[in-house]
Amino acid sequence: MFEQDYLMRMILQFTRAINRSMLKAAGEEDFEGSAKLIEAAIGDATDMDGDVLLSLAPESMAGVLHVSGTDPKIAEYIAQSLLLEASYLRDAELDARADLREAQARALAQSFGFEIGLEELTEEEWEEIFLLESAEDKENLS
Amino acid sequence: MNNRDQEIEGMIFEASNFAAEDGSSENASAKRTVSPALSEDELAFDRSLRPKTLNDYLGQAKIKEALEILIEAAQQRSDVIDHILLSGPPGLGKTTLATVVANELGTHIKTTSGPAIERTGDLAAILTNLEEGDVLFIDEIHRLNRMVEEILYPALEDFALDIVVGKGPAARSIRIDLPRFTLIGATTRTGLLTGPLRDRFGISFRLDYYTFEELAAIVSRASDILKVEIEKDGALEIARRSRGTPRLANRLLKRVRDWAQVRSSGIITEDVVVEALDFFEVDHLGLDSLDNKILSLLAVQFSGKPVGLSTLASALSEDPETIEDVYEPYLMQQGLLVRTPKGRQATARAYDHLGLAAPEQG
Repeated sequence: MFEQDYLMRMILQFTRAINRSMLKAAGEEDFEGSAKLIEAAIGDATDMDGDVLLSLAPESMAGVLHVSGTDPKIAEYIAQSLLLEASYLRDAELDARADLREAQARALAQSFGFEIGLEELTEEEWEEIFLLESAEDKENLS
Repeated sequence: MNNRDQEIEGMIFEASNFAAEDGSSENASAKRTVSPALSEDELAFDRSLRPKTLNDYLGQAKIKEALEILIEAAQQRSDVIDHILLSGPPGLGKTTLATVVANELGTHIKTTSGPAIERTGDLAAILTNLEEGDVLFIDEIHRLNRMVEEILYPALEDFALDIVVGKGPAARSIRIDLPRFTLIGATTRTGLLTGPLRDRFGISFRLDYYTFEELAAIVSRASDILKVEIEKDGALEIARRSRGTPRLANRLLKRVRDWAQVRSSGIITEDVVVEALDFFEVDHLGLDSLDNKILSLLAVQFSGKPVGLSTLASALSEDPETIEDVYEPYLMQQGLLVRTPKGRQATARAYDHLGLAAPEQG
């Protein structure tokens, strides 16, 4: 029960950060700033120095999250966030970092055994992935 | 090469140039013909002249022999070689030697520099992208920041990277394995390396200044690569004016080549070298106009009396650090200037060099 609450709280925090990053990207068109928000959210979700974690080679990053006991559901959220960040980075013309984020997302999917799509998604589809509306609801309930 | 590799290569390339961009004394140094510092536009030229194997590497015979043994032994054991520390003044071939080691081992080399690795994440990225047996070359390793250095210790000792999870009392460290690699660190200032880092190098080599003969051989080799005709005495004259430094010898060769092409037949003879380098104000000891100005100030303007560093700096409109780091070492090495408790003084050899009578002793 406690674990479920903790997990839910983490996911809520995560989705809130994603929401902020999406607003920043859509409203201010600050794609690099949006990417930074996602990186900070990943650091918080994993309780690690996000700077170090996100600098790692894809397989090493996946290895670290495995060894640290990251919940598979959180890992899936991280992978999706990395893909969203990659799309921001492409808009900011930071292709090398975008490639790294995609490779990290792919390595996480392979390591934790889930599937992710690498195709271009619309804003609505991203919202759907991160269940933003239901996240708000759950936050209100809690 | 994908974008990620390009990014790391980019970081590594920037890193290798970082030293030349950082610090006023190095900037000042880079502008001089006789500076051992490498300017950005010289990079490609410099690289084209660098030897690729130990056989092609001229000079530093003792170090070469030791490296041959290390490499052969490691290859026989199918193991990586110990981490190596290379120290010595700039321009003597530390980077080249690291590349040669990687070539001899048949592995890749990743090149970066201490001040370019600002964050622990930068080093983590480099380390986790290494492949088994790779050589990691860190130039100016004494300028690594302490946080980054801490990450390096387990990487050097256990080929592992420690990452902290959590904060406060709940913090714990998790360890990921790294591929076995060889670190080659280069420094111009061994004394600034911390003890723990220095102790983690299995072997340490200090590169010495080159003899005239060694430099002449380097100049002749570079002339072959550049397809420039040079006489033996011409190569030796360039060597004499190169301050014992291969990088400088190659730079002077470039100046002389231009001179020979425009003002002479294109063949580099001793006379051509003398004329060309006199024109570019590099005298027979390898001193440029600023070196001679320092000696002249000490001997003439200050009448041979000891002069404080700040006074000398003001008289030259230079930064005291630049004088200490860039100009003085070679003048002292040549016995032209001494540092006394009262200040800097020109020696009898300096007076002789300037064509002046030395003041009476006492």
